Amino acid sequence: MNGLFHFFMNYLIVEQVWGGAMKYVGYIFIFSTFIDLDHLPYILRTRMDILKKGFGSASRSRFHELYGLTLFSIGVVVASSMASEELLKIISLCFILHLASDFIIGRSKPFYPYSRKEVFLGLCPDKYRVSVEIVITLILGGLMWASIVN
Amino acid sequence: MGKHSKLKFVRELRRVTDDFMIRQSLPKWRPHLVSGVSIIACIGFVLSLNHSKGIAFMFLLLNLGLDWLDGLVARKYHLVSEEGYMVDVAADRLSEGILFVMFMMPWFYLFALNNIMTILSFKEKKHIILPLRQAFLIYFFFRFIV
Repeated sequence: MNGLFHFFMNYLIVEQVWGGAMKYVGYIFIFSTFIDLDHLPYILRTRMDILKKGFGSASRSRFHELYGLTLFSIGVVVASSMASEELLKIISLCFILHLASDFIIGRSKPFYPYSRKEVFLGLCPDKYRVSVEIVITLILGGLMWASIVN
Repeated sequence: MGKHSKLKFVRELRRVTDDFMIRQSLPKWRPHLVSGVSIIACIGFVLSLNHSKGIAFMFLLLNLGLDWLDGLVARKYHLVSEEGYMVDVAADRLSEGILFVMFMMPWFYLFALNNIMTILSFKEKKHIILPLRQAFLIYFFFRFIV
């Protein structure tokens, strides 16, 4: 899923759960999207072929899989004595929901680098994926805009 | 899944609980799809938690029920595979992450431990994981529902 989708979805969920999401909008944006920076080496490697190949499991590093989830959860436990609990909950939720939505919609290698086996849940068939992604992103963006205006 | 063997007492327990269910007529859903929906149930739990603990409890039950169902369907229709094991375990960890974010201490700490155990279990081909969501279900019931 694209970065905007993750940001819009996480913003709306934080707003629903805690309220006052605007106060944390910077954190929500960073922790909803920073893990996608691991696509950069793939983008540089494939260059123009990216339009043809798209962002499959090959574009993700180990930090986008269970390995990254493990490191992140350990980091949160270590940081829990230093940072505010509400902030930690928000950034953790944003990060985990990013991994979860990528796992649900796309192809992933959950145990990479220990296994290169790719899995696909099939919740959204490949041929509709781009259209579904655009439509959902627009809907979430509209909902976020409405929630800010109200 | 055979490559990742469970502890003997867990296998025995699963045999008792699953044998009866596998003989029943179960829907022929794709186990991967059921795992995906079980994660979505966790998002429902998070969204409903501050509004209604009863509805949140229902989402928690749904998550655990679907997690049980995906394994049953896979065994009944002979769809057990290495890929299925990976999906099941990854869906379990992501579900735990979403659920336990709301209850930092001690649940998120145990979740971090479970993540480490998952990686080690996969490397050692021995499935040793803490049944955190089952314990959490009991905790949640007595803490918020009763």
